[in-house]
Amino acid sequence: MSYDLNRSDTICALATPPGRSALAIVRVSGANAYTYRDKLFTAHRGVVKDYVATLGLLSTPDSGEHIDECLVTSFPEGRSYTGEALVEFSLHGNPNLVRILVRDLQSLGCRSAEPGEFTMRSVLTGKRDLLKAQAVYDLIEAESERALKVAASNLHGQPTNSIARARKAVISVLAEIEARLDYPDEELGDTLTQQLREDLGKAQEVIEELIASAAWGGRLMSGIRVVLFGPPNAGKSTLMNALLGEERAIVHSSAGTTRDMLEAKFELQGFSITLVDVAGVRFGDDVHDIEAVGVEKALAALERADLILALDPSDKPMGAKHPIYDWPNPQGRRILKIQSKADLVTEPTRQLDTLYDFKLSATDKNSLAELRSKMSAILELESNSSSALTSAHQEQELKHTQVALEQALQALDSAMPLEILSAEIRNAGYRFDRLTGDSLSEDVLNQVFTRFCLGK
Amino acid sequence: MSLGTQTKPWDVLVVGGGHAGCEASLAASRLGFKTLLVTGSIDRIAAMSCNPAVGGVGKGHIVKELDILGGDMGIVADATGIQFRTLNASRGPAVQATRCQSDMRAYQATMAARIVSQENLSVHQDDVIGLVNAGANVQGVQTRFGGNIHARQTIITTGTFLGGKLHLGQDKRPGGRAGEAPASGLSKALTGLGLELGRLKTGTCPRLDGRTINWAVLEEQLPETPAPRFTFESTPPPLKQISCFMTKTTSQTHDVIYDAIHSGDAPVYNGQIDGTGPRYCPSIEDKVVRFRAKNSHLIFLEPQGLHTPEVYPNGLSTSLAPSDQIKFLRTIPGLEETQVTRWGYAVEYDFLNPTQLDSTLKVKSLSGLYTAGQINGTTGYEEAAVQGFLAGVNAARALQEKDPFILTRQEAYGGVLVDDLVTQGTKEPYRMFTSRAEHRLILREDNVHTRLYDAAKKIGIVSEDRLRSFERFEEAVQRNLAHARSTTLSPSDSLNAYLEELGEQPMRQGATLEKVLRRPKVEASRLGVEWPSAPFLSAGDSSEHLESKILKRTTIEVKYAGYIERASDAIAREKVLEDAVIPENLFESQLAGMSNEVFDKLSTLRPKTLGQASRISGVTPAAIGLLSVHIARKQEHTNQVNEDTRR
Ligand SMILES: Cc1cc2nc3c(=O)[nH]c(=O)nc-3n(C[C@H](O)[C@H](O)[C@H](O)COP(=O)(O)OP(=O)(O)OC[C@H]3O[C@@H](n4cnc5c(N)ncnc54)[C@H](O)[C@@H]3O)c2cc1C
Ligand SMILES: Nc1nc2c(ncn2[C@@H]2O[C@H](COP(=O)(O)OP(=O)(O)OP(=O)(O)O)[C@@H](O)[C@H]2O)c(=O)[nH]1
Ligand SMILES: [Mg+2]
Repeated sequence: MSYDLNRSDTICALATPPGRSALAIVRVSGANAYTYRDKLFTAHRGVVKDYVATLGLLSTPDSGEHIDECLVTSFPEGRSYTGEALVEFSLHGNPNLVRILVRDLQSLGCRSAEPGEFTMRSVLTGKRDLLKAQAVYDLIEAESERALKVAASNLHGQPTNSIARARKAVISVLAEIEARLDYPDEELGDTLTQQLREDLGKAQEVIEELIASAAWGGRLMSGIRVVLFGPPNAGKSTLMNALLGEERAIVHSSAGTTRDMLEAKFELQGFSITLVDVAGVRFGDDVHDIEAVGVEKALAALERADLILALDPSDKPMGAKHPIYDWPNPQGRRILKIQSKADLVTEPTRQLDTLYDFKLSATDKNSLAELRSKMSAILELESNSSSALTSAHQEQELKHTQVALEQALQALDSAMPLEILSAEIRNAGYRFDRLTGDSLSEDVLNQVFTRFCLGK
Repeated sequence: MSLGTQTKPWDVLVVGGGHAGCEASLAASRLGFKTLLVTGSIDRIAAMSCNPAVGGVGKGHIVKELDILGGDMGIVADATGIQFRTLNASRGPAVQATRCQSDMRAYQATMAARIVSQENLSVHQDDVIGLVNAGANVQGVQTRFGGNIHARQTIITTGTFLGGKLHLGQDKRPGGRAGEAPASGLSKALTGLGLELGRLKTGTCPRLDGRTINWAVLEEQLPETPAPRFTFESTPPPLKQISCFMTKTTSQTHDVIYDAIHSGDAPVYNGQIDGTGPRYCPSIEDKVVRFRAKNSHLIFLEPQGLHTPEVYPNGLSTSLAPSDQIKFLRTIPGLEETQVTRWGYAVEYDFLNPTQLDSTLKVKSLSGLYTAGQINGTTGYEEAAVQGFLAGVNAARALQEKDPFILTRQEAYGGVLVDDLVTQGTKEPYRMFTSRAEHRLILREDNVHTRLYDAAKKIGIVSEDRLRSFERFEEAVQRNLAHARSTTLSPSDSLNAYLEELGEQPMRQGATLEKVLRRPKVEASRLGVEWPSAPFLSAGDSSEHLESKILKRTTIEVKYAGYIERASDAIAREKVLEDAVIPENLFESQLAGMSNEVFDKLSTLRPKTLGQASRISGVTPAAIGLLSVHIARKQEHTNQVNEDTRR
């Protein structure tokens, strides 16, 4: 979808979930918001003040028929969420009331907003930058406490500030460079480079940190994928059910029970986790067709995993022949090696002990609790920064910025003339601007706002 | 076409024979139009009101661009220069710039000779005191003595003369330039047509009698050999080349100036001058006040010509009272006993806010009227000259009913200049800097005939032969580049000796010529290689100079290839914005969703492309995004209408 915006108009949308509820809020934003309000709404006390919730009657423009008694809050241009004049109608939560109000607004010339259009307007009017717009989205979509915290910190401007600082450090040297180039007769000295190298280095650190956090931030938002992996009958499905606290997967004593991939979400210490159960993996000539398909799927699941729980059953240990060792792990995913069914250990398996990070008995509550805290400790370690960029688009832009900074450093290191250095620094500045939305293009707008929900 | 009682109007009438007026009238007449240059004093045509120099950083670029397009400033500067230098020689290729000291009289005389001998061009001495117009259609000018003169296109290039007022200490009197009367009436005529004028000021230095300077104690700056030149042809300078000398102000100098300011003798500080002066070419008063920490400023002593003892002390622009001027001058080493031939002074004048012009320098609200040069808020001979040229070309093209000729920011400093003026306007005298160009790496002196080849061809002033030389030059460069890529250089004693001399690692095994040339300080001319350009050139243009220019260019193209390529990519990206034409009628009604402030700006300035709009101050990237949506909608709408009418 592309933003086909008739920006000259005023938009409206229901801002609360559709359906019956205690309240329903309809938002109106644009140059005519106040005019429309005054055609539809009469305050009991006669006057409607800005920022103050005002009680009054809502009526249909033609017939003058009263529809509802409602609260109206008005925000003037420049001081609202969108930066435009904005009015919020707080109605009783009947979908029919909402329908009538939206219909009346439309009859006055108001248009139904596109998803995310309110927030996009706030970026266009300079009310917030792109990073914060993304944070608004995240705040609404966040599925766990952790994700909420990150979104709140982003909205508060943590990444905005660190990016602004890095940008400033890099750009500030430009004036110095330009003075040297345009005033060849002034004796300005050539001691710039050391400072510049430091500034570029600092900016790089900031960007690298953000990139590292972006990968993690994305996972925080969409759910951290934990894949249960191991040979058939290792107890994977049992563990899945135990962690979920419900009988989701079929468990059976015969090997090869799970054929398909099964996903389920649960929350662990504020982290939103997607648990993935897959078919048991084994290789060999006797692996038949259906099983082979399952194995393929299981291996594919590994590629997208953030954490892998590799189970090795103590009653039939694979040891070093465990299929996890046949997987190259190209992205260096975190793997937790677990000896499962630890309660079945009859004779000590000392020579194998060094292979495992953890011994688990799925039937033992304490053992499960230990596993939970082990997992959350690992996730905690990964998310050491409180704010993190969350979208793939932002990650992409960050990487472009990183490249631009690298190129500037390269020019510096190869003693390129000042005007070339200047060009490289300007380019880096441009990349920073794309991140924050100081340089906007349509592709950026589309990337960011198409995923928003209606009314936001 | 006659003066006074005219039967037929002139095609093009140029008011003012300064640097802008000269180029304007030459360009229009060379494009085949009957042109009249009316100026206050024929003897003062092409006078250098300020320093006896042409070029400099950003300015040298402009002169070279003009030379390729068919302007005359480079030719005259080359013919009358007495010291040529490359500024920023130790910096990169994009900011290296040519500058020359001129023999002022020779410069004036040479330019004047070109003017009076030009076919289709007549010169007439009179003061223009008003305009002839029918409504918004300007049809010529009123003169003080000869009545009305009618013309189809009028170009005003009156420099600092509009409402000019000269300041010297507490003395102030009307004047356009020392010894010349201001233009009266013209300002009123312009405001009468609804144009907005502002006020600016600029100053100049006192001139010294060179025979009273103690040269022996001063540091000498020798002319560069071989002399770098402005013109493509680069024949050696015909005049004798001489040195300049350097000195410095002292803390004593600064004390004297402070005292003068505090006693209320400085017009700049006592409220006598309202106009805004330039930040970058400030008077010595300004420098002393603003850079308190610096207790010395560099001064260049520049001879004004070969046959005059007058010396221009560059860096000492002032409008202090004469008694203060002589007092501070004599605190400067070498000037202890100096005599002043002319006092420094400041001039305050009206200028036309250039946002009232379109990119052809035509006044947007009127037809038949162009303005160029200092009247548009610029300062400098070069800035004036290129504007004059562009106005002359466009006045002619308007008569030919051809599309306008517009230099883009991506291809020339001239383009940057005009675009800045018409989209941003100016609050202080506008001087060119390389930092004003986004694509400095592309806008170099060394590639000027390549980047402006198409433009020169389109204008049609430059001869076929000359265009062919530009092509040959470029072909030679390309051959050299191909050669550099395909040739392997084996290590040799002489080569390694050269590398060692540069502080580079010696070569141990063979490498392509290109690779060797990429090393930071290595130059193509020093590798002991037969370049394909050599025999190629000597067959045709046999100038030694061209040869070295080709090798220099080859070196640059190899050394900075990656960066140049990236800069070209950026230009290509920007082209999307530059090519997005804003429909004329887009601003007829409010574009809601756009703040009133931005809308007002856009609707008064009426940018022609999204690129131009994006450079208007206060127009945010967000507003540009919005504008692009509106343009798309408008186009959709127009297409729809067209389709409907077709059906
Ligand atoms: C005091 C002073 C200081 C300066 N200092 C600097 C400096 O520090 N740095 C710098 O770069 N530049 C400086 N300049 C500016 C530089 O001289 C000008 O930018 C340049 O000459 C402008 O060219 P022009 O063609 O626009 O106008 P000018 O060269 O001024 O030419 C204007 C011409 O128009 C004629 N004219 C004016 N009015 C009329 C009329 N009504 N009728 C007929 N003819 C008319 C005049 O006789 C003159 O020939 C200074 C100029 C002055 C006067
Ligand atoms: N004693 C004991 N038995 C277990 C434990 N975990 C699983 N089991 C049993 O082991 C058998 C297999 O368990 P599943 O969870 O189906 O094993 P799986 O790895 O999913 O097997 P497939 O889906 O066939 O790959 C079942 O009979 C479970 O009850 C455990 O910790 N202790
Ligand atoms: Mg299973």
